[in-house]
Amino acid sequence: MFEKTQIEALFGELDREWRGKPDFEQISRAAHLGIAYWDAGRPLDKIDPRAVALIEKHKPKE
Amino acid sequence: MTKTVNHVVTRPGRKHGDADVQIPVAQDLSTVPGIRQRDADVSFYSRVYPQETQNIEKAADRQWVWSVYSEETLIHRKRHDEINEPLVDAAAVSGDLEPTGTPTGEDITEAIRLKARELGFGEAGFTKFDRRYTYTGKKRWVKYEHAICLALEQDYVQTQSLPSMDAEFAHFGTYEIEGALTLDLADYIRSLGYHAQIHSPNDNSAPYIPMFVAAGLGQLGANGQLLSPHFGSRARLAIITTDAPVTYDEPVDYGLHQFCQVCQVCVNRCPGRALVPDKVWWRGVEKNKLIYERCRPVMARYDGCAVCMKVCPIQRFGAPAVMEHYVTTGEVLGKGTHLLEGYTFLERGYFGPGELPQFDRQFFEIPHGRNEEWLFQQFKEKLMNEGLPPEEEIVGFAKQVRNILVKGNSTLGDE
Repeated sequence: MFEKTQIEALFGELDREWRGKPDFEQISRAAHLGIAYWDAGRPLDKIDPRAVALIEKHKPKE
Repeated sequence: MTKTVNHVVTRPGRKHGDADVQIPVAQDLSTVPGIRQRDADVSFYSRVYPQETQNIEKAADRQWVWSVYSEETLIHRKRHDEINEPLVDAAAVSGDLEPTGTPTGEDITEAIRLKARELGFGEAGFTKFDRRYTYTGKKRWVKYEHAICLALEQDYVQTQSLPSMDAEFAHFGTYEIEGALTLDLADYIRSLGYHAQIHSPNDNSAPYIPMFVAAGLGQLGANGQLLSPHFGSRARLAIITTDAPVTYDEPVDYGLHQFCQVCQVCVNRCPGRALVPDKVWWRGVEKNKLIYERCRPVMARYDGCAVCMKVCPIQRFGAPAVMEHYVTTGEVLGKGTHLLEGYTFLERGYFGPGELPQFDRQFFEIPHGRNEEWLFQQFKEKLMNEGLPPEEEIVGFAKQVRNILVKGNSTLGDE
């Protein structure tokens, strides 16, 4: 499960990279849904790849 | 565990022009369209115990909140009131304005819905303005029988930072935008030849949620808020009544009435323990009845709180994803995770799943009732504790009561 520090790191990076750009909200929504799917063990194939990249980078170590 | 799908709800996309979405409703979540209701009881309670607006019934605590707001909140609220006041004033007299166009007599439901969506409303639905819900002080004000229910979505990213000033900016900012948009939509209806009366979200004529449910725009959540399919409770509600020929929408079973009983995340995460797990019959409807006195003190001191909005999976992920997940897995998406359930509660720090801030009993002791009722309560306690006060104090008390009575009951709110 994503812990608080990992969630903050992911959204911190999302904020730095995307805030002020047109897709910021869309990627934010996708990141929330993607993390929830990841926590639930569901595939991320329907999630925006830009959000998936962030999730892969910040996900808890196996 | 895969669930059997009872029915699939098709709704327009979140924004105007987006593709329709499908919401699968599991068999074990299927109940009734809208809400379980005993119609005769709704009529009975509205007749024998008519409701009055919180702006009157709870005037004492509404005044008290200003004494506990942070400096930043105070500044923002005053600025908001300055922006909002002309919008509320315009809404108050909107029902008296004459149409500017010539009516054709044709049904204009879809023309109004399209215009509402073009203006930016996330949801627009039609139903009868149910006068059983009208607040006592507004009974003579409401003019037209058809209600156009309008929901304006609040910023997604800012809302997820709840409780915070950033989220409060989104909250009040949405009301300001909505106030202006309802004026535009009412102008449009008048241009088609019909009257339009704006029921401001800041001067409510009734509890609006029952009519939104009747119009099929969502179902009542365990957090006491309308859960609409795309944004849950992350929306601000307004109504326009009209005499235009329109066709009513039907209530919908999105599965949310029962989903809340399975989910319970808002109930478990409420910092004030103001939400209750079980539904009760209240004024003719089956609902989770929140405890106002446990909610208000937290809201006032913690940037509007709204943790119940933040942790609702329908708000966070939308009904299509949450219901699909439930059908596929039998689980509530996000339940038990830091992502959905965690929140930082200002100076008290972070609370993860299963953790709640603690407040002592005194924290919840706030003024209650109408202003004059609270004044009498305080006077009574003074009499009991200190005996008969000097004459000038009694006269002072009488003057305070008179000032309240002279000022009269205003239905105007400050939210």
